[in-house]
Order: sequence, then structure tokens, then C-alpha cells
Amino acid sequence: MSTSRDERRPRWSFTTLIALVCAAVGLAVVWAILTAADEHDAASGALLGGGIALAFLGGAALRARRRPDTGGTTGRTMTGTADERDKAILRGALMWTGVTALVATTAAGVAITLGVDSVAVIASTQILLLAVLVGAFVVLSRRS
Amino acid sequence: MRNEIRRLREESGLSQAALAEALTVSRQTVNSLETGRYDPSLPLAFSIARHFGLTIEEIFHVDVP
Repeated sequence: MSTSRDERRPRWSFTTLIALVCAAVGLAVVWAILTAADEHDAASGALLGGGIALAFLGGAALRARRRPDTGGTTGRTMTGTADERDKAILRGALMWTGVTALVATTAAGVAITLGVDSVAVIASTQILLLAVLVGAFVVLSRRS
Repeated sequence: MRNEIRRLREESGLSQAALAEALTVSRQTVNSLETGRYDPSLPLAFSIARHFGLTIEEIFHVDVP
């Protein structure tokens, strides 16, 4: 039921690094696709926004690695050292995101049917879901 | 759910960080447990009880409305 201190050491060198590299590659692919489609503003926006998010997550993971006792829920989750409370927070945030997705995709379908630009609707839905995930994570980690 | 974790920890002369390390959870989790903002899972409740040499019922009390 319990684990030793060594077993709780963040697995920074493998899991986190792979996740960050995959995210960076994915970001580069999105940038390349948007650039190829001649959507230079969208490509720059995706690169900037994604880069900031990656830098934030990398910083949180590094902090959790160097100072596990002061690292936050985000850092521990990123480095694979989340305890049961951290996992409960993540589970709760994902639950709210899922419930929001049901409503948001229904609304998006109606909006597209009514003639709203589909690209704008899809982008808005993604931003909404990301905002709900981050917001729910922050609120739940403060309340529990 | 109320609990006696803070009192037991202070009587044992442990810091939140030390108790967290013994229970293999984060210090924030110990703090949340002590303030009643987070109710532990059954395995963690057993770990806490075993750590202090008590039963779960002696540490955790259900709030009666």
C-alpha cells in the first residue's frame, strides 16, 4: 500500500521528457500545417500559445523534480508523482471538461447548421474546453 | 468528516512534511486532510490509522447533521 521515498521520485527523465517532446513535435506539426495552408496568423498564434503552455508545464515539472515538497498539484501530475488527492483533482477537472464537451459539441453542431463559420466554431469549442479544464483544475485544487 | 490528524501529528512531534513522507503523500494532502477539505480513500485512512497505532474510528468521525 505504501511506497518508499525513492519510488516516489519524479520520473522526469523518461515519462515527462517524452510527453514534452511529443507535445513540442505536435506543436511543430500544427504550425507546419497552418503555414502550408497559408494561415500565417493562426500558425503564429498556435506557436506562441502552445509554446507558452509548454514552457509553463516544463517549469512546473522541473520545480516538482527539484523540490517535490513545494511543487504543486500540476507539477506532481506532470512528473508522475501525483498522490490520491492530485489524482482526484485531475479526475474532477476531466469530468467537468467531459460534461462541458457534451453541451459544447451540441451547441457547435447547431451553430454550424445555422451557418456559422465551422472553423471558428471548432476553434471556440477547443478554447472553451481548455479553459474549463484549467479553471476546474485550479478551483478543485484550491477547494480540496 | 472531522478527524484527529492534526492533534495526533502535533502530539507525535511531527511536521506536516514528515507525516506526508511517512504516508507517501504530498504535504498539501496532509494539510487538506487536517483542515477537513479532503476525505482520504480507505487505503490512506488505514495507513494513517496504522501510523498512529489507532483504529480508523478513533481518528475519523462522521459529522452528524
